[in-house]
Amino acid sequence: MVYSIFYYASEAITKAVVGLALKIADWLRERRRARERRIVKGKKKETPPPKWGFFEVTNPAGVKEVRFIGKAVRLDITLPLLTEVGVGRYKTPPPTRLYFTFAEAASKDWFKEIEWLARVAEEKAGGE
Amino acid sequence: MLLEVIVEADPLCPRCEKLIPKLRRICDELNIPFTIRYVGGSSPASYAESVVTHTFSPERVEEWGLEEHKRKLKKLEPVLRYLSRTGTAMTPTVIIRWHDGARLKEIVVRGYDTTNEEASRRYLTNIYVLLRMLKKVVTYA
Repeated sequence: MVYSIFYYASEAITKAVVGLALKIADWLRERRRARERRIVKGKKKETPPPKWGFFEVTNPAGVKEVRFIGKAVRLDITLPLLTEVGVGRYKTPPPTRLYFTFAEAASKDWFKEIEWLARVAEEKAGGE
Repeated sequence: MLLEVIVEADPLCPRCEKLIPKLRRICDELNIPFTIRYVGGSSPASYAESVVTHTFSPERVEEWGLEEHKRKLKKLEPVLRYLSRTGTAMTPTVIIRWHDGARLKEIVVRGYDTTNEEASRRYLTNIYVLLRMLKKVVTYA
């Protein structure tokens, strides 16, 4: 079977066009993945709380407390921080809070607002 | 997993008096723990800081705020100081708190209008729907 010059030329052009399209698709995918990897790497890691000792924490209500956890003895004491005492500080971030007013909570779009705010809060917490 | 409803109320606040029995009924029906925390000036626990005092305080923005909040804090600090004074705090404050497996999350709704009956009914319906949804999520997480 003999192929004409037009056959070879059209085959070469098709291969070149398809190859270029695939390369562009690969490049785009790789760029997207690199961006995702960069975002994941940029996340702040929360330092774990100390396992024993005398330190200051912020409780879930957002109030500062002094906590003592024993190393050899089974003691776990939490005291309200009424005065500034010189103890090692360990800052615990308060819980993620979404604030709304009565008018917002009584509107029909409240659930959409909650979703939007939660998304923004997660983006802000993860991206920076 | 944790799911609870806390109402921060003032003992002398008429809005709190009307809201608390309705919320208690919702929580009893859904079997969710319901707590009332009195934060008014006349309550013995008024020295404790709470969400009511935390919302507008500059210290909170300095410590936990985003960069843009901190940048804007210089101009807004006098206003925040004024708003965070006792008496300007809005009660009742409904706190819906749950743990999603990773960390605590809270939805805080401030204020309640007793005059607008339709809005208050919609508000209670929304809270009921939200609690029911959260209960399902938290129970099966």
